[in-house]
Amino acid sequence: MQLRPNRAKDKLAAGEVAIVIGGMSDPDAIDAFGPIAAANDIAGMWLEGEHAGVDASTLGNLTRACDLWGISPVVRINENSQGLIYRTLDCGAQGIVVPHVNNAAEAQNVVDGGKFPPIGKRGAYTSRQGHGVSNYMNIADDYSLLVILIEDIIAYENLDEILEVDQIDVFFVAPSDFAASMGHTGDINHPEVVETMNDAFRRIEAAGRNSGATCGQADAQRYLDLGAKFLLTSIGPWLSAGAAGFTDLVNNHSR
Amino acid sequence: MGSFPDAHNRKATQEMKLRPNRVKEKIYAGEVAVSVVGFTHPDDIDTFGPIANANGIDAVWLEGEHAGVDHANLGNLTRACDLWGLTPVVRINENSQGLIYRTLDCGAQAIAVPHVNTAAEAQNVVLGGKFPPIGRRGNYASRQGHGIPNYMELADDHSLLIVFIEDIIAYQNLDEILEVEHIDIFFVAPGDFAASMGHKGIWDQVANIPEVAKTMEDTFRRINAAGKIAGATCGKAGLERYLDLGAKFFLTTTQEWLNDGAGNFMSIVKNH
Repeated sequence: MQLRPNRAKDKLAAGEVAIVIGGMSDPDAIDAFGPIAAANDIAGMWLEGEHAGVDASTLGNLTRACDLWGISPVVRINENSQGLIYRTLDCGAQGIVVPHVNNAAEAQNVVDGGKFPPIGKRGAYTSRQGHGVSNYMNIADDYSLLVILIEDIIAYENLDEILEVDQIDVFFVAPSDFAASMGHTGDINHPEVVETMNDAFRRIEAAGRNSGATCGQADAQRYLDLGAKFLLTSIGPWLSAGAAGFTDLVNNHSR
Repeated sequence: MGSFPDAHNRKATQEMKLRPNRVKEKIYAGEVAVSVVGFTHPDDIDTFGPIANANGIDAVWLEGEHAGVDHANLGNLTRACDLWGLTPVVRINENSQGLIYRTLDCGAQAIAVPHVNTAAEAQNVVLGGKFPPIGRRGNYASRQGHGIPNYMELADDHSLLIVFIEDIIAYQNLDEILEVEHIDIFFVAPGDFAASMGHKGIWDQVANIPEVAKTMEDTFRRINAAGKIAGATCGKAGLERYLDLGAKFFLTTTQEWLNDGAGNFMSIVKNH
């Protein structure tokens, strides 16, 4: 039996863009979205545990719904804790996203929690992704995806040392906290914020690493131009556009 | 591996197929299908997946006649089965058309209905379990139908209906019950059978009471003679008997395996 592939990681390895969807919080909803994901080549499902309710007791069901459709379950956790990182992997995550990683030591902590020895210090246990896979611990590190959020101005100032940490797959540049940490809370389009973020993307690419970004249809082009390979997008705007399209028909109907 | 539809190698243009019903395929190929009861959490089914695959187990029996399986947890329970190619068989609590098709809609591939005592009651199972023109199943794509545009055309061939012959009155009405089409398995259950004959006790205590055993054996023979498929519940001890009686579908419990495993382990501890 083989370990379930990690579609998002495979896409990045092939130099392709991995698209990850945020906004689903129920296994039945993910399952219903499965054929849409397949038809549109969606690579991953972002499960929100930094701010929302994803936790260890819900991860089994959430990640199984992803497994059924070949979607990488990517879980954003709440703090940079080694125990939290590997328990999240054990419960079925294929990708871990750690917020507010601000220096090389903090990035290394993500690796320590996310990889087995000798690379890291992940506790020895077979993830539910490893059921039936006899050599799980030998191959797991090649299948897990580690994402860190570069989202504070201090992380930008320490970017060179952070980019030297091995085993981090995606350096995700997030605008809101970035702007807030620069004194421009809520103003992600402030020129100073935009220029700092653009420079972060350029330096990530120059270091030969993958960058990640969060965007919608309006700004996807900008981040693709900046070399982002891992794109998080929310279903919120899709629902909004769909709802508007439907109600427009209702409101404009005359006979 | 039991993932569907070859999940990682999915292509945008790939034609999706309805997930096979492993039990249904096996019994109509003349093979024996085995279902296991005892798991109540999706994580536990998932953990059991490779063991099931290695041993040729076909199905997980999800208990909703007596235990806590309901519509709120069926999605998660049946997805864990789907992941390993195991047929989720759900025993429901009463012979209700609405309950039957909602259970199918939530992901069951098979429905087991207790206490079916007449042809009309068996026909009610068919009415709830099959779409028109065969039955009256409400028009809705099951979660088993996600991505399958012609789900409603295919669903009836994939769903499996099991009726419980477990009352002496069902035995008395067996000939008319066996004439009802679209029932896949006539499951002969000893506990209620014996109780309805005046012998109370759990299944392995009553299955060998001569009067009960004789009536049950006659039931199996008549099911076979009608060209229909019989189901039975047993542990290792009773298996040979029911195989000899022609049963093709089995329900067995993890309790016996846990008991054996615990006993074997503790005997090493005690004898060391």
